Amino acid sequence: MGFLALEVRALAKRYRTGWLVGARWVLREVELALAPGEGLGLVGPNGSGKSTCLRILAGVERASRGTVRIFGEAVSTRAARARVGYVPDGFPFPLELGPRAVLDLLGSLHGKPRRERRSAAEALLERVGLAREARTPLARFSLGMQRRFALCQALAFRPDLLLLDEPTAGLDAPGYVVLDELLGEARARGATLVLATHVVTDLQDLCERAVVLVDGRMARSGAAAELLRDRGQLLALYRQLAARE
Amino acid sequence: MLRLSALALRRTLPAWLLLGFGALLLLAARGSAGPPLLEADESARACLRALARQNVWSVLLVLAPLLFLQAARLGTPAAKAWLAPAPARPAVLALVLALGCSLACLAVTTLAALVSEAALASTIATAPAWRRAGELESPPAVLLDTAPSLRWSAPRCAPGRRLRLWTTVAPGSGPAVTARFTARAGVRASVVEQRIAGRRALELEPPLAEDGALELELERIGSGALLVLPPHALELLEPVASERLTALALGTRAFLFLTTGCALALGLARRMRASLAAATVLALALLSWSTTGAGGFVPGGDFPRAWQELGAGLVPTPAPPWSLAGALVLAALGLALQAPPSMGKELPA
Repeated sequence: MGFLALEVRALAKRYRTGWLVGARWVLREVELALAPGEGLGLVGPNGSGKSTCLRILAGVERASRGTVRIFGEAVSTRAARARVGYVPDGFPFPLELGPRAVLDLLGSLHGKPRRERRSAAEALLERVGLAREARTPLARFSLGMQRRFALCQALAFRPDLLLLDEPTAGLDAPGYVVLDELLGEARARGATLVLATHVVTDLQDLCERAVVLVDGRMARSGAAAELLRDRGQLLALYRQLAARE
Repeated sequence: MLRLSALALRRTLPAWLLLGFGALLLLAARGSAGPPLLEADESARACLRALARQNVWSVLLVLAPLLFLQAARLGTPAAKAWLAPAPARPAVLALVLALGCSLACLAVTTLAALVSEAALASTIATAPAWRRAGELESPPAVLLDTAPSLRWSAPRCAPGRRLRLWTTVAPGSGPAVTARFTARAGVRASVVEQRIAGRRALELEPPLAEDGALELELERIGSGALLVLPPHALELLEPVASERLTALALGTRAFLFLTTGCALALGLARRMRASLAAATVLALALLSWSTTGAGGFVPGGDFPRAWQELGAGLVPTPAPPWSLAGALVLAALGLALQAPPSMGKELPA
């Protein structure tokens, strides 16, 4: 029996806004289902819940309600997380370490043998143009280099599900090329992709489907190509939200 | 996993903190080193060395809140966001991080012990050092002109042990008074006589009693201040091999205290801000220091008593074994708080 690569049912998340009372829903009733090898774009303005949704899918945060299954396994299980690669929105990696050390550490957490993780790290760092900075502390990296490293660590262990949060934000020119190549290769080998962005053109050639999130709710769901055609509608929606704020 | 522990060690004890700690230790050691300005007997010299040790070890207490804060920062969901997607058990991750914190605590404790003992290397006495073995009963009293002596009895002591009687004075017809402390066992007696002008201990090695109790007597000789025998004034001391055991006694307490505090801060940081987690741990530590009952169980809870013993020129008693059990329980609590999947600020479904 084939499992869905990603199955999200009635996902909701709320944050406390005070010590005892006060809470704010940032995600409500999100439903997603992705077959292996599919690409999904999560589109929406800032604060719409895209990053929160990806953090929950990556296991960084826990949902307040609903279920998330990755290849049939609950998101909190090691089996599910071993198949996920995640490019976070910020840069939470230890700044005092070099990229090789971080990759080595993550590799050990994935249970990869030392030789395998070293060769994988070296090959990927070479690929993203960070081989010469393999021992340079991440603190000395430019924003573009940081984004390239974030992509590199997500792809290091050949994940079956790739979660990318604003992957093009802050990316330098070499980064764009690397991103395009690596994501193309990942898709070619059958990896599933979830890409969160507010720039709808990011979805081109990568995602077959798109979901528009507004205020934590799914405002629209359909083919990515349609959304790309009707960019005017999305811009009108953004304008409405900007006027409201 | 060892790499992650090493990272936790580096983050708990970053270079700036280690350098600052080292500099403060050296300043404290330098400030209290050197020969005394006045001639002093062995007992007074032991007290001076104890004060020098207190100087050095007190730097560790200054460092403690910073260590707790660093450990708490390590345990926040934001700091662990890069580890959360990795397929590792949360409990193992928490344990590995706590191990790193523990190594940092071990490093600072060892450093404090080495500096305190190195600073006093040239002044350590060859005479045996003493440790508090217990307390004997003594009646509180004030010796006046009309009642200048006080007698009471105490159980006999094992060979080699000493009695230390704390006395002080109250204003009378002079600022000081001569006190004589006698211990008798049958026909044999040991006597010590001293001029008392403030809080002072009279120490003697009691005669060996074949059977029966020791007869003790405190006398006020001549006129002068009133001689006061406060409550809990009589201590039984036992010899220890070396004064350097002070480093072991204080080091064990400090290590258990810091490690437990760091583990708790690490766990609490999952649920609250790092600064609040560190402050909570510090508040609990202060509470345990001011609560007499909790002292034995809470690691480092008997620090004030050990500090007091050290100040009196004694080698502090070893940390009670159940403080190790307490440390394990509290550290396990910290790990349990840290280990579950991130709750962040979310509410239950």
